[in-house]
Amino acid sequence: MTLFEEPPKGGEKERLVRLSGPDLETLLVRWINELVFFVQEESFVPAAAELRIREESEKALSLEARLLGVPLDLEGHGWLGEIKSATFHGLDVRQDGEDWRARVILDV
Amino acid sequence: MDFEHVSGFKYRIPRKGKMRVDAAFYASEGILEDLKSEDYASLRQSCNVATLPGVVEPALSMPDIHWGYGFPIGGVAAFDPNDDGVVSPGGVGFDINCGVRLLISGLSRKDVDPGEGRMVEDPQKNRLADALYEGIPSGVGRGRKDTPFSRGDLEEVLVEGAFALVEHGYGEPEDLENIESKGRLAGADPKEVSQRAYQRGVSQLGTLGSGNHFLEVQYIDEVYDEEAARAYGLEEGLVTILIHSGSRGLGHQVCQDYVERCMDAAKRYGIELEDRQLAAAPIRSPEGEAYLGAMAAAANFAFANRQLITHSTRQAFASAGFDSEHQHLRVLYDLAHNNAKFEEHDDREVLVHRKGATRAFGPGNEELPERYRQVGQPVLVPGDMGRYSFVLAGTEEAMRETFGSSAHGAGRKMGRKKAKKAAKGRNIRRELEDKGILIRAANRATIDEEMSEAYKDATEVVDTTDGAGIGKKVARLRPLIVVKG
Repeated sequence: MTLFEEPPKGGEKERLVRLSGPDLETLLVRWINELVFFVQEESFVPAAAELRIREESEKALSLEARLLGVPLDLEGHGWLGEIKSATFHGLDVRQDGEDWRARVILDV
Repeated sequence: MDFEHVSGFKYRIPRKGKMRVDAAFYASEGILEDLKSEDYASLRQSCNVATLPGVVEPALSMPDIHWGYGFPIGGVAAFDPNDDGVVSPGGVGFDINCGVRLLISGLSRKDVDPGEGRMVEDPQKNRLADALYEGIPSGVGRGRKDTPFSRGDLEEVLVEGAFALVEHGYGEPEDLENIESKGRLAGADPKEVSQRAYQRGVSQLGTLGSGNHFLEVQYIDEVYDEEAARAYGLEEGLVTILIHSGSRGLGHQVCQDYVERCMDAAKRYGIELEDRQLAAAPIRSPEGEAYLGAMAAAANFAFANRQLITHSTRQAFASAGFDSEHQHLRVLYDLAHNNAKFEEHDDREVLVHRKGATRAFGPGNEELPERYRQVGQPVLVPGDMGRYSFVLAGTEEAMRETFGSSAHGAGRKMGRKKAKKAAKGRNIRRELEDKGILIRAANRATIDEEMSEAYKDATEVVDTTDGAGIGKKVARLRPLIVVKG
């Protein structure tokens, strides 16, 4: 993530996340905004995540995640600058073989 | 990109394809070169804005236009509610009512900077810099521990804006006279603001934020228009304070919430979007009205934010040893550069979106404080921390040509990453001190990414604005102390 020069690699503090959205693109925007919220508003830096995305119905996806991280340390983590939000501008999520690729533009 | 030269600095992009109206922009040769180097990406964004329902001709770009998310930054677009006109949260931006406030002191440069920039260790200047940095939280994660308003009180702030702060003793009634809309947008509806937005806002009232937000102590080094300067109370050598901040996390959350809601609404109302970030709803729809209510609430939060920062600034000057008679800081003006407001232009009411653009009402407008009515509204244009900022005056030409709008700043030339790369091996703090500018910032990254070279020279934007007749140069301000997050 573009918030830190030296992002933490692991951590013991835990956060649980539940999100939903009508499509993968919206879910991605909400996911990124949730991570930004943790860092900038709650001073918690997620370093690792176990996450699962389910298709609940045709236009409903859910995301559940368990985040592990550390308290925010601006100097230690090499803070790079605030993110206002993920945007829908130029947003793209697609499958590439067995991988997934996404492009999302952040308002900084 | 096909465009025509109209006259002077004005260009027109004729309507084509899905555009409902022409677009227009203002540029010098240098600005035109910049636009060409980005393959006219920001002008294309302006053309996309011109496709939205109810748009009133023309969709505009100010001289400081640059590429944004959906709407360009430096974009102005008016929509007619009687013509199925829409409101677009992206046309206001994430930082609702990000804006600037200029305070004037009774101090001269020598009072704050006795060494006139030659003494880095000057105790008076350093004392003031420290007092401001300690007294006004800035930077990410720095909320106020002494916040005077609880979650329950925040609703009052969202409705009453700066007025609420003055009522609670954080300012003077005179302050409100010199704030756009007297620091309180009507129609604010706190019920349309989400719980998450409240959660983000409650500890952030009275904080600068980070990134390109700042508080700067300056002095006037040049006056261009004596009549306007006199009306504003400006003179060479006078110390001023410029505050740049907005609605913080509360505003960002409101925008996030309503971009999504308007994306849904656009589908239901059959509004075709050239870019999802242009998500919009009819002004006269439940979704449109809900956004306008939430936006006004966030805008009021921003006015209140700058009011509390003003109070803290006054306290900082006092604690740095300036007596109240000489240090009395008066609000010259406070204005927004991200909002949407109902205004009357050409005898009809329209909703004017300004995203990275400033209201610039001309002489005679009754919305202006009486003392400014003869010369027009103060227009504040921040530059960068190493060079200068400007005060302009609104003009009649702006009222005729740009829905009473003008430029809002210099605009970035380099992204953050490139700026940090350019700063490698340099000591930007020392470079500023060599120019007589003290900086207080949360970390080195902020200083590096905000270096002067990361920004265009505000002079070109201001000269183009003045040359186009949509803002008249009044004075130039040079930095002495910079506080950044």
